[in-house]
Amino acid sequence: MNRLERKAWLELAGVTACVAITGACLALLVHTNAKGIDTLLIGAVVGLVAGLVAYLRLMSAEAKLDEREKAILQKAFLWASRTLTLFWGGSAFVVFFIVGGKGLVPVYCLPLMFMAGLFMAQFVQSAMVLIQFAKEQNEQ
Amino acid sequence: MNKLQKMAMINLGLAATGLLLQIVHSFIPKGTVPRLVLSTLVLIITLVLLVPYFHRRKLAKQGRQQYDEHDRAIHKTALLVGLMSMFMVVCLATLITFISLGPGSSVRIGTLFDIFLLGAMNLFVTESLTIIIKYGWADTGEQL
Repeated sequence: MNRLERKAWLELAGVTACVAITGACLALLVHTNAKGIDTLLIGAVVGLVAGLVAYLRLMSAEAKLDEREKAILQKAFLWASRTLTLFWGGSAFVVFFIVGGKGLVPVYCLPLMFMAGLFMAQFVQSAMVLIQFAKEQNEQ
Repeated sequence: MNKLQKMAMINLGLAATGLLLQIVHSFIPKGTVPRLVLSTLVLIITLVLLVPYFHRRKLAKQGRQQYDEHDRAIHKTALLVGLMSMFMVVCLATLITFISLGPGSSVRIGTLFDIFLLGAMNLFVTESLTIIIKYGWADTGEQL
């Protein structure tokens, strides 16, 4: 297993853990019916710090990759982005047809859809990396 | 200015108008006629903005003269930048809606489409801007 394949598995595990933790936090927020600027600030600070750490780690890991690995990663990212966009658009239409044009949606559905999209995108990205490596190995 | 740059300029104009209309739209009271008109306009602009994508694919298939590796690299980078900015906008809009209304409340189904359209408009604006900037740098000889 090379470093990009290991990275793909690690990212998939990481995003699964993140979705599980965020899901638990979301359930807690729904249970306590939390709202207001203080909760937003806590969420924003935690999110910003986590995002910055993840971004820096990603940049340092990507700097070590060669051209071929970078091309594979970029292609996988494009597929993941398309999946995410399609998922958000598609889920908006699915909800529209379920609840109807004048229906109401519980507000916790928004972060749920967001997280489900992120999980699906990361799944597609990791799968695309592994599939592309498997294809290359088969060709060799 | 080549054909792709002109397309990016038209895209930017349309997308910036769409983004502005979408932002104005969110301040208009729900269920009113101006809001419906603005929603329809934004939807039409989004559909019009999809046309250049297909046109660009057609150009790419036609050959190297009109769409070479350099153009492909610029468009790929622009798409990545656009998608990243769209994710950030959607994340922020979701977070703000969730926290400001509270988990116990509900939103109209149109809010989902509003957030999605806001993200899409942001994607078009950022992508077109990146294309124009990248071509500008390329013309002045700076490294891409």
